[in-house]
Amino acid sequence: MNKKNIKDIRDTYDTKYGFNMPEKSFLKAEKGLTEKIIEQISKSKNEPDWMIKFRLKAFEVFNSKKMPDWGADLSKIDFQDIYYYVKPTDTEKRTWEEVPEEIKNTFDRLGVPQAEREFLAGVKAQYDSEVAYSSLKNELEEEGVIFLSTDEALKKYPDLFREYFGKVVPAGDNKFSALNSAVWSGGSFVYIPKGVTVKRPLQAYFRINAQNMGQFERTLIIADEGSFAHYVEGCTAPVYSSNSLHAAVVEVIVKPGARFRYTTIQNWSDNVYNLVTKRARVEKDAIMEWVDGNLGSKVTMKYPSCYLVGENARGEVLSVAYASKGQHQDAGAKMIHAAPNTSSNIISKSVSLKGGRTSYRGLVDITPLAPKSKSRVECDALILDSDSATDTFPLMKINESGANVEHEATVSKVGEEKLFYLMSRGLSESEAMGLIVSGFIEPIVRELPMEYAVELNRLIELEMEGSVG
Amino acid sequence: MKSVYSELKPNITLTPDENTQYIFIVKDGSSYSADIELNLKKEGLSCELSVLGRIGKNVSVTIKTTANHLVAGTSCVTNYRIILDEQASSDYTGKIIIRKKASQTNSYLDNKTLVMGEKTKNTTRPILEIENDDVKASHGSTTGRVGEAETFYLTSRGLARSEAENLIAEGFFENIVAKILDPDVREKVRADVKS
Repeated sequence: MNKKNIKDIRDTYDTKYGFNMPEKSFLKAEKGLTEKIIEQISKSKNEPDWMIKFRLKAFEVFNSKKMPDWGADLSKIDFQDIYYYVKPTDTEKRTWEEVPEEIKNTFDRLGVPQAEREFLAGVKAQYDSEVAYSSLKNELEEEGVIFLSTDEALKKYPDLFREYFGKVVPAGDNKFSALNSAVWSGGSFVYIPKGVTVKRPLQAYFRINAQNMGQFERTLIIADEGSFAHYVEGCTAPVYSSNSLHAAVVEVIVKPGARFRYTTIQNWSDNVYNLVTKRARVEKDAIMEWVDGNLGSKVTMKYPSCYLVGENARGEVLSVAYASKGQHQDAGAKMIHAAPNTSSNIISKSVSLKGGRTSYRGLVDITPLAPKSKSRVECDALILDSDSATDTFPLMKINESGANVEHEATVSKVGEEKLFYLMSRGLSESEAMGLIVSGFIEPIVRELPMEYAVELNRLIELEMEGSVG
Repeated sequence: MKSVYSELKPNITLTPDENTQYIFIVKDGSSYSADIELNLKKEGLSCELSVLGRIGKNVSVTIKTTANHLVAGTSCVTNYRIILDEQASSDYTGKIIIRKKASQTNSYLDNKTLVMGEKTKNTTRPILEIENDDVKASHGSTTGRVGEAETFYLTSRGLARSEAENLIAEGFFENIVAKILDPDVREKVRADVKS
């Protein structure tokens, strides 16, 4: 295979996304992580007492926990060499016209106003750790749907917030959830009332801009009984020479009979450490779907999970991972079956090239509380050249004798005969590769909202083409 | 291809220099662990590694198999089939490792667990570590009970339930046993699996 035909997507990053806005921040904390900085963060947000205590307790937990001895290489993270909080504006913006010019330009480049005009329900955009702009369409407000920044929600809906915050992902869950619990800032709070179906996807964007900036957004979603909604997030960040850390926490509660889909397309620049804890508690007759696209970052460690705690609950994870030069995507899914008749389905597709490494890491745990449960896992990997590698580390713990569990995985390269078939019909080698790779990840791409599917397919094309797009 | 039927020991390292089928049986009765490493160091080798067994009350086994492909052109099929009776417990790690030099490798791992008792525990980890792109590697793992339909089929033809279940258990191993090339080894394995 002609290696010149494989064009690394990162080469086009600078022109397409890699731009640096001059910083204009109102409050910038010092670098590093201390109790004083955590108190500073909490005070600047006027948080209630219980939240300050929660943060400080989480900081203690963070200090007591060791770094994981498995997974990707995290040895270069220096926690003291990061800013943990930067606030771009004093208050949230209501309309697009009120947003400061630099921030507007950033989101212009990302296409936010166009998308908002066309058909999105509401957009919350985060710039340097704070939600700078929010807009709720009338129809959402009328139906009682709450879609705010997490900071705002803590003030406006304190009881609802406190009832669920930290209950699905406690601070002590892992070192990075402890870090997030201590310094969280920004993120979305979503509440879908009983029986409400939200037709348009709810969207959010994230950006890291300041050098050595950390992103610690905290998202809390409650889908009340019988409701349906689809939340989509996609993130980009400029290219930097020093490393950035992204340690988000997402908690989702899907109440009886509800269905919730959470889609992420992550395209962080290749100096970002993306260490995320995403978990859903799925109650009786409810369905949770995670659609997870990992394209960027230097290292990603992310395992969206479903705790199936109610009878007939269902969890699904569709995951696509792409690793190019210097990247390690260590992603997967976790399904914990803790009630009868629960079912789970995991489909993972990964592509590695130019020395990149993809690892699938998954857990299916059928506890004795889950008779008649079913689970199916399919993970496939494509390696596009001899410099790249892939691993699969699935773990199935089946402690219920009536369960049905299936798992399959394949690893291969693109067959010569497939390439020949397409090239003999007039496609160039890079076009043929692009088509095959797109077809390989199609089961996941077809579940994405149209703009994301289009962008993802274009990214793959750019990747395979010899020219800059 | 020659067939080799041996006893399970805590640590086994196999480095064949000709195409070989290795068969091991997990014996019931007492709990133990075994770690089998099959190193494919000669180009063009084709091997099979099968571990079969049926364990019962309170027996707990920990089995690890590794198919280690170190050079080009090797192929391997790993089978781990176990039946879990009352309160049995199996912990299986099945690795396929394909090193950088091992192009044109073909490796497959098949893990099937048939649950026939209650309160059983089954943990499986089918692992792939692949450092070369010109390979075909895959694995499959299933765990489940005997379907009611299959049991009914046999009992409706006059077999007692226990007879039906034993027949199904034999059938569970049969398509591995039937592929053993050496007829003497095949009959011995068949007899040992039945008992």
